[in-house]
Amino acid sequence: MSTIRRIDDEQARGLLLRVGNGCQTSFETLYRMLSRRVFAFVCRSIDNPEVAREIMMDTMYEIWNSAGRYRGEARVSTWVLGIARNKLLMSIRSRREAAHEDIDDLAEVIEDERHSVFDEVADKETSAMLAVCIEKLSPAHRECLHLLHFEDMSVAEIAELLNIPDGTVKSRLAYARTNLLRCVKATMGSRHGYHEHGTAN
Amino acid sequence: MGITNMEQRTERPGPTNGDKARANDWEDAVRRAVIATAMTNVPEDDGLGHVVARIRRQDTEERRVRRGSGFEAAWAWLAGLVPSRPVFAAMAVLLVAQSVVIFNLWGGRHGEEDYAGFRTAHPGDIAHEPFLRVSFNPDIREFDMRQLLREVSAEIVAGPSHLGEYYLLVTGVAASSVRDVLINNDQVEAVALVERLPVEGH
Repeated sequence: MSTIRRIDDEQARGLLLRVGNGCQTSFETLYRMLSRRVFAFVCRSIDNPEVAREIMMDTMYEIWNSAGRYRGEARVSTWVLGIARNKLLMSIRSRREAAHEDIDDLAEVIEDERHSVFDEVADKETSAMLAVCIEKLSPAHRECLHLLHFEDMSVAEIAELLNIPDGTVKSRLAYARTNLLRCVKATMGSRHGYHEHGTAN
Repeated sequence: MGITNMEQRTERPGPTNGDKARANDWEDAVRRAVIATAMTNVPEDDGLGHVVARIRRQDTEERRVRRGSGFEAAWAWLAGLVPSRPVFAAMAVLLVAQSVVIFNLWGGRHGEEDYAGFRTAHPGDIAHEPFLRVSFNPDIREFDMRQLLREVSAEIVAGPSHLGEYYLLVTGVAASSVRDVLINNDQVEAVALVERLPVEGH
């Protein structure tokens, strides 16, 4: 279970300002505040923790060099994750990281399905299945879910960070939820001896 | 038949409070799963030392570049003098050249000063050998002294000092055996093995 404290944006802005003036102590505090968030964000898109660690360190080094250019228009975490995302994309392009197994092919929005699924399985079991299914989402969908739930960002903030329209973010989130639902249902069916339509095996 | 799609949608019942509750439960389950699967199992200062070291290297490099820029600026200033004040520029160049020459002379002398004065062989070649410090009988003739040194394969490398001592380098045989020969010679008053040649003026 993750135990990362929420970021106090005001505190982070103050630290970033001092980092921009060359304060190394403030940088170290900011590093401890942000590095694991950056690592978690990067790990949503690539399978290799070592590469994720390199990207995280690159991102923090970039923060040291670019702190003076922070204009305060976005939350510090949004700004930092934007840098991390650029590093991540460059790394993926250069390394051609193997993508996670994708379940986007299952995408088909059927809103009512979530009710029956959630009624059928115990809370704990659903969580375990969800954990597996999240890993099977496409990186783009997983990224949106991560920013929404882990970073507690709004749709507008996610759209700004990813440089895409709000509608695209909403669409990705909707597809992500649907794919999760279908994945959980399929997993549940195989575990309980049911076909997708609920008939006994 | 006869029922339009619009009518079908209209007839579909709206979400009940139970539906909304289940939807919220599902969303909450997703949220918890997203948080639980976040990869945060690394120390908060993981990689910090590496990044700080990189920052310091960068800082050092920038300082070096700034120093280089200062030198280049000084050079540009000097070059700028040439068209406007060629005399000043010539004086500056002369000053630099003199400094280089003086520095080289000082450096060369500094490296050899311990052995300067009465040297007959290059100290760089022999400084590590054991030497014999010999005091000859004051009445010994030059011819006899050189004859004796030839017999023991010794060569004068320094001396005579203010006390009349000569420093010998022995080749081919052990210095200690030569010392034993010389010490029994009537023409020699004293012989000793020494590690170094005397400093200048001794």
